[in-house]
Amino acid sequence: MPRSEIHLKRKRITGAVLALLGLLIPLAALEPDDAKHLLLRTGFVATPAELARLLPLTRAQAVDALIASTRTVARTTPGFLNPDPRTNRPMMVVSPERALKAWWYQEMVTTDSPLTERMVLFWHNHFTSAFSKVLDVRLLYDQNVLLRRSALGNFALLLRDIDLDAAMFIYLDKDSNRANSPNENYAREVMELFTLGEGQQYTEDDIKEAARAFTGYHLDNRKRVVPRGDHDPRPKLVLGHGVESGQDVILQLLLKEERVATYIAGKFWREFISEQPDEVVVRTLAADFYRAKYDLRVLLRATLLSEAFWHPVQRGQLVKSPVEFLVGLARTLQAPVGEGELLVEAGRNLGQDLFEPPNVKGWRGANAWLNCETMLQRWRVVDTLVDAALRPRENASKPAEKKAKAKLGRTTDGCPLVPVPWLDEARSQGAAGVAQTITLLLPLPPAEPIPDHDFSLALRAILHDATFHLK
Amino acid sequence: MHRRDLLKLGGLCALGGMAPGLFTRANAADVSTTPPPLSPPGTPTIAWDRSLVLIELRGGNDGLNTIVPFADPEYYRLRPTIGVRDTDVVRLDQRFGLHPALTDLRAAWDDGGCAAVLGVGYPKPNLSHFRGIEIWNTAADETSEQTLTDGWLSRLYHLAAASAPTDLLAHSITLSSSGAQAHEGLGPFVGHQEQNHFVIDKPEQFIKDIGVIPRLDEDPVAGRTANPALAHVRRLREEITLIGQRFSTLLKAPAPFTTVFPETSLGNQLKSAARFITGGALCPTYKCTIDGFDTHSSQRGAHDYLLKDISSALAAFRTALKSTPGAWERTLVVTYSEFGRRARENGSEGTDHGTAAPMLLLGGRVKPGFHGTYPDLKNLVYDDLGHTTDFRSVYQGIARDFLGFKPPFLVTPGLTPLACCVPG
Repeated sequence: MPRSEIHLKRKRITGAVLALLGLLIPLAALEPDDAKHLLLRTGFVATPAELARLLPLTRAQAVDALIASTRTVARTTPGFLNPDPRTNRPMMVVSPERALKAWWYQEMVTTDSPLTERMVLFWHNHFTSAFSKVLDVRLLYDQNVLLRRSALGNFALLLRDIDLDAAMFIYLDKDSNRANSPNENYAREVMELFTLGEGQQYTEDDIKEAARAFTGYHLDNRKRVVPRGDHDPRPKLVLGHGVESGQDVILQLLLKEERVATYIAGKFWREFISEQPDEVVVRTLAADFYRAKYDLRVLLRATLLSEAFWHPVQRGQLVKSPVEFLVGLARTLQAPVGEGELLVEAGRNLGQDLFEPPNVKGWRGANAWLNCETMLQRWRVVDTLVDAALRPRENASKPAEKKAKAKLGRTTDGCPLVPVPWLDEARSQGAAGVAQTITLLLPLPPAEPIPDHDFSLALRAILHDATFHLK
Repeated sequence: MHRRDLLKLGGLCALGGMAPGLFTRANAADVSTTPPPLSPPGTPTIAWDRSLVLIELRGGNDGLNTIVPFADPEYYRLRPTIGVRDTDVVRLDQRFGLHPALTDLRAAWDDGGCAAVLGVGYPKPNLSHFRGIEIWNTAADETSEQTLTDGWLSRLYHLAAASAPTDLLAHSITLSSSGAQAHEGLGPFVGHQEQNHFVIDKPEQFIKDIGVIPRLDEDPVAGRTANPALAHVRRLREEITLIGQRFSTLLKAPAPFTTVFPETSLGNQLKSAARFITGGALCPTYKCTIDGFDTHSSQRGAHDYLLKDISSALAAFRTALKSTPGAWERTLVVTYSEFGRRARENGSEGTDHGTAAPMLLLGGRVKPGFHGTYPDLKNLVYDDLGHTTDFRSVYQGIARDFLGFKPPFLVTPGLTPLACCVPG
C-alpha cells in the first residue's frame, strides 16, 4: 500500500476510534471532580450527600437523575400570601416584596432539586418582570409558579402561558395596547428578547404590525388577562406572512422559525457551559430541540452531555451569580432559616435583586457580576454567614428568628432546615478534614494558602478564596 | 507580570530606548525654566486632571419636553395632552425654553456655564434600549450594524495610556447605587481590563470594607492564567488593595464644600463626585445614572419629577464645585440617553421610543448656549424626529477640546467634532 494510503487509513481509524470514544464518554463512570462539576453547574454547591448519590452513576445516568428529580411545584409556599387565620383578611406584612424574595431564597436553600431552582432563575432572567413595575406580589408569585411549572417542560407552551401572564402584561405595558394607539413595547420584546433575539429576521414594520395583533386584551378586576372588544381586526403582515387575527397566531409564526431554537440553545450554553458558545454545536443542539417540538428536557440533556460541558478546561471558568453564591453559601453552611431576609439584602448588595432585574433584558451576568464593590460585598457576607454557622446551635431558636420563620411560612413537611453534620465531621478530622473541605467547596485548587491547623480559620479562608467565586 | 505593567513597558519601548528618566521628575540639578515634556511629541495624551461627569438618563429621555419649542404650534398639535404649556416654560430665547422643572439650571445658563446640543442622534436610529445604549456606549455605527466590544471612553484612555500618570486614582468612578447592576452603566468603560473602573456606592463605607481584605499573592498554581474568570477575580483583588490606599488618603481630608444635595439617588451620586473632584482626585470620568425615563404612559408625572431631580442635583453640584477654585473649570457634565421619544404622544398620555434628543452640557469650559439645530417637527422621519447632530461629533468635540486628546478621535466619514467646549 502506498504511504499516503496507509497514512489516510490510519487517520480514518483514529477518527473512528475517537468518534466511538466520543459516544462512549457519557457512558464512563463519573470521576469525583466530574460529579462536583455537574452539581456546581446545575445547582448551587456540591454537598457530600449529593455527591454520594451521583458517584456510582455514569455521566448520562447522573444527568438523567438530576433531570428526573426536578419539580414542577415548590417545596414550600409563602405563608404571608394566605389570609391571616385570626382575621381571615390578607396578612399584614411590612414589605410584601421582601417577604416574597425571602420565600424564594428559602425555597432555594431547602430544595431537594437545586436544578429546578436554577431553571426558574434562568427563566426569570429570560421572561423578565419586576416588582417595581408590576406592584403586586401575588401576580409575581403566580408568574414564579408558572415558570417553575414549565421550567423543563415545553418552550412553546411556556411562551404562550407567559403571553397571558398578568405580571408580564403589566410589566410590558400590554394594557396600553389598545386598537387606537398600539403600544409596540410588547411586540418588540417578544421578538427581540423572548424568541428570535435582537435584530434577527424581524424589522421595525414587523413590530408595528405585530403590535396591532396583540391588541384586544386587558386585565379584569381580578387581575386576569381577558379579551376585550377593542382588538384591531385589520390584517397584519408579520415576517412576510399575512395574519388575520390575534396574538396566538403571531407566537405560532415566531415558533416556526428555527432561529428561536438557536437563540434558546445559545442561552443554555451560556448558562451551563461557557461564555463563548460553539456556534456549530449550538446549531446542532437547536436542531434537535426544534425537532423535539421545543421539549426543554431534550435541550438540557443534550447540553449537559455535550463534550464541551465535560471538558477539563471548563472547570471553574464561569462566575457564580450572586444568588448562586449566596444560596451555595447557605446550603454549605446550613445557615439557620431565619437568615432568609439577610440573603435578600445581600442579594441586592451583590447586584442581583430577585424580582427586580435591572431592565427587560435581565441581568447580563458573567464577569459583570464582579467589580470592586461586589467583591467587597461578597467578602462581607461570607464573614457574616460563617459567623452565624459557627455560633452554637441554640441560637437558631431565638425568639426573633422564630418570628421570622413564622412570617416566612412553614415548609410543606413542617421541617425547618436542619444542619447536616458534615461540617462538624470535617472539623473533627484535623488537616485531613480541611483538605477534604477544600476539594469539596472549590472548583479549582485554591488561589491562596489555606491554614489547616484551625478548621474555622480554614473554612473562612476557603470561602474567601478567589476560586470560590467560580463554578 | 500584569497587563498594566506590560502596557507601561510597551510605552517605554515605543520611545526607542529613551532614558526612563523622562517619565520621572528630573533631578533638581536638571531643572530648566520649561519642564521637559512628560511624553515625547506624537504620543497621544489627554488632560488626566480634567473631570468628565456623565449622567445617563436611562430609558429614553423625552427631548421635546426637556427643551420645549414653545413657539412652534406643531409641538402642541403633536402633544395636545402632554405638551408643556408656553406659560410654564422657562424661556431661554424666543423659540426654546426649559421644562419648568429644570428651573434651577437657569443660573448656569445665564452665567455661561450651560449649553444644549440639539437634535442629537445618528443615522438609522435603533429604538431598542439595549442596542440603543450600546451604540452610545461604544460609538458603534448603526448604518453598518457595527458591534464594538469596548466603550468609547475606555478606548480613548487606551489610546492615551502611555501618558497616564502613575498616581491615577481611577480611569472612572461609577457612582450608581447598586453594584453589578451598575455594570450596565459601566458601558462607556468596558473592554480594557487593564484600566481601573470602580463602582463606589458609599465612599466612606468603601474605605472601611477594603481595609479588611488582604493582599493576594502570586498564584500558587503555576500557569493558570488561561482561566479568564479567575484572572478577573485575581485582578479585582489586586485593585482593591491598591485603591484602598489611594482612596483612604483622599477621603481623610474633610469635604471642601458645605452644599446640601437633594437626598435622591442622583443627588447622592453627584455629591460623591463633587467630593472626589474638589478633593483633587486624579480621575478623568465619573458616571451617574438615573432611571425611569421610559415613559410609555402618564409621562407628565414621572418625567417632570425626574427633571426636577436633575435640576436640583446639578444646581447643588455646580455650587459645590464653584466653592473650590478651579474645580468647575476642570469639570464637564454631560447628560445623554439611549434615544429620545416619538414626536406625537400615544394614547396613554405618554410617548414611545423615539430618536433625536438634546444633550445638556455644564461646566466652566462649555461654549454656552445652543449648538446644532432643533429637529423640524413638520418633517418627521417615519414619524420620528430627524437628528441634526451626530452624537459622535459631540464625543469628538469632548475628546478634542475638553480632554485635550491630540490625534483625531472616532474618525467617521462626514463627521466633524462639535465645538461645544473651549479648547486648551
